[in-house]
Amino acid sequence: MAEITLNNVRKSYGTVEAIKGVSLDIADGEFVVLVGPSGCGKSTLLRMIAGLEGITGGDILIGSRRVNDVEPAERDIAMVFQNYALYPHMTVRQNLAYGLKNRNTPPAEIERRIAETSKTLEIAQYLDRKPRQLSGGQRQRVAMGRAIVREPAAFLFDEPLSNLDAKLRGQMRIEIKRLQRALGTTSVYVTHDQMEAMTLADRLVVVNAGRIEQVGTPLELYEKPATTFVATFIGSPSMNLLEGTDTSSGWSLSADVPRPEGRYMLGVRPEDLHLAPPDGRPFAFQATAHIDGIELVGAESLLHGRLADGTPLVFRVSGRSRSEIGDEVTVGASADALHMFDADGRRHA
Amino acid sequence: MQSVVFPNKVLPYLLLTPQIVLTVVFFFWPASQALYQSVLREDPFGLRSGFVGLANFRAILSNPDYLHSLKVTVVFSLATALLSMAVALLLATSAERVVRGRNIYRTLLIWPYAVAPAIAGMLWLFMFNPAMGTFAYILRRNGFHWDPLLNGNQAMTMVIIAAAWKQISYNFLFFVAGLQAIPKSLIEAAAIDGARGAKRFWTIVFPLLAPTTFFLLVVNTVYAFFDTFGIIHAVTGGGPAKATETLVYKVYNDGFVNLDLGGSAAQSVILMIIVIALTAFQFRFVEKRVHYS
Repeated sequence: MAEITLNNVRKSYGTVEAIKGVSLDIADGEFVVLVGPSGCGKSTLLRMIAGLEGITGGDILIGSRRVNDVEPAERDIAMVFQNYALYPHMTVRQNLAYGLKNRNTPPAEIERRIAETSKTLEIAQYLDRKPRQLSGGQRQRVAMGRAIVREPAAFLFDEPLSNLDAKLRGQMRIEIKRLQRALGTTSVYVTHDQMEAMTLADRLVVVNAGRIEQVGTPLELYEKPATTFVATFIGSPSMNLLEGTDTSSGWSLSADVPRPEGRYMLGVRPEDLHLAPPDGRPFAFQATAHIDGIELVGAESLLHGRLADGTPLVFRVSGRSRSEIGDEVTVGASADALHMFDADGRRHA
Repeated sequence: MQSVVFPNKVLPYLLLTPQIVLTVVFFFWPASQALYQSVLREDPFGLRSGFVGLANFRAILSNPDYLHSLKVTVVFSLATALLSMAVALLLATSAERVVRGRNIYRTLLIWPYAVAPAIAGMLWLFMFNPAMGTFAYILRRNGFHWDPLLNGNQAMTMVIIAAAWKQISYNFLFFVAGLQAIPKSLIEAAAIDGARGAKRFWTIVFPLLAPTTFFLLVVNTVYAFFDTFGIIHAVTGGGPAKATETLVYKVYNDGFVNLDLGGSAAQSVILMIIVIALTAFQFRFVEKRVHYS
């Protein structure tokens, strides 16, 4: 059990700065998800915590111990890799025991922990198999088991579910969350999948181009994105962003809605756009779109439209859409569903 | 798998012909000649030869010279294969750690493979020849009594080193490729699991290299058995006192120098059987313990 602190951490490869000063406090027992597009530095950040990448500047503390120059083995962390990284020449049991043996854990204790872990993860019947005799989901469990059996201060997950099919991914997501709650071990989880991030995280860290864009609970990030990047990254489908000038064509904003001076960006989520006001009050925001695509995704339909000036606008309707491709549709949103951003992409008040 | 059918009936045979001709002329024909010759005995003038059944084989197997040669071959092959593989593995793991100029090192290390066996032998002979070799001079000046022309063990050491040296490059190439094929995340997982240095190498890296090691073991044994004739011929000529006379060298010496064609052919047949058995054994038993991911 430990808290993890990043203090203005930097990483450069030659002249290229991959991590540009990241500070983050992770509380003991917290589940923090680092999320961002590929190449944003989230994996590098995780590998720096693990000790697999050197640190160019700043400090990393695990449980108030500065670990900048500490070997990965001595940081008291366990990592679950994207490709599981199970030792192919060892049985599941040997895989689980390897880290403990290297630390001179007494055999009886190893045996006890393996029994306990394999019971929790329901892998007891595979203990004498080799990894190649297991399915993807089973390998995933063994990889988790190898982390859990060590009883480390922190778990680090590097996109552990990205090699599984969608159904299994959903199951494992719930299971990881359940396990982490039961064990209460501090966890840092890296993913590019914002759905995974939203459902797993106690706190979400959105990383972009080597910097932290925003830290907060999934709900905070969803409801109050600090930047247009976070606004479009969190939520699926993405938030609509419209460039606001007073003469914008195709949409209108009632005069009493506060907005930034000069140029601004207006964001509205697809789920906040309605064909008719749900509470009967007139819309604060209204837009007329020319429908050019309809996706039926089960319980709801996504309508892709374009405003008169060509700006794309996506919105949801429940059930099947009554509109057809080529129709003109007017949709609107109430004032509290609108997100205002300055011209530089920062949230306005 | 879908079977491919050529519309033309002649073309496929035509395309296969060169390979078949090569195999027949350079393998099946000599092999069958060896089998045929091994049951014949030629008169001293090479005018007539008569069928003698297995007499040649009986003569060989009861000949202490032959059994000595067998022993020499086993020592030579094992030592050559192990030495060249061990050094190659050491170099390959070291080359993995080099960051700057990695490709230059690799290229340089591969060069010896381009050297013909006889020339490789000559190189080592020049360096260690007791009369003119630089290293022989250094050894003697430091009080080491170096004389491979008289001392059989020293001669053996020299041919083993020369033969192994030539094979290091080849082994090195395969070990480098084998090391690169090990997923980096496995090494990282081992690092987090607290395995460092030698322990990580022997518990993770070496077992994962097993397919490469096994393949090289087969190749190197066959190399030491057959392809080292040139080195032995150039460096020691089988001497001193047959101390470095391997089976292949004895086949040549008995057949083409001493002109005992029947005996020599019988030896070739035995050699063929040994190599077939060796390869079959290696694939049958060693492969079982090898992990293929």
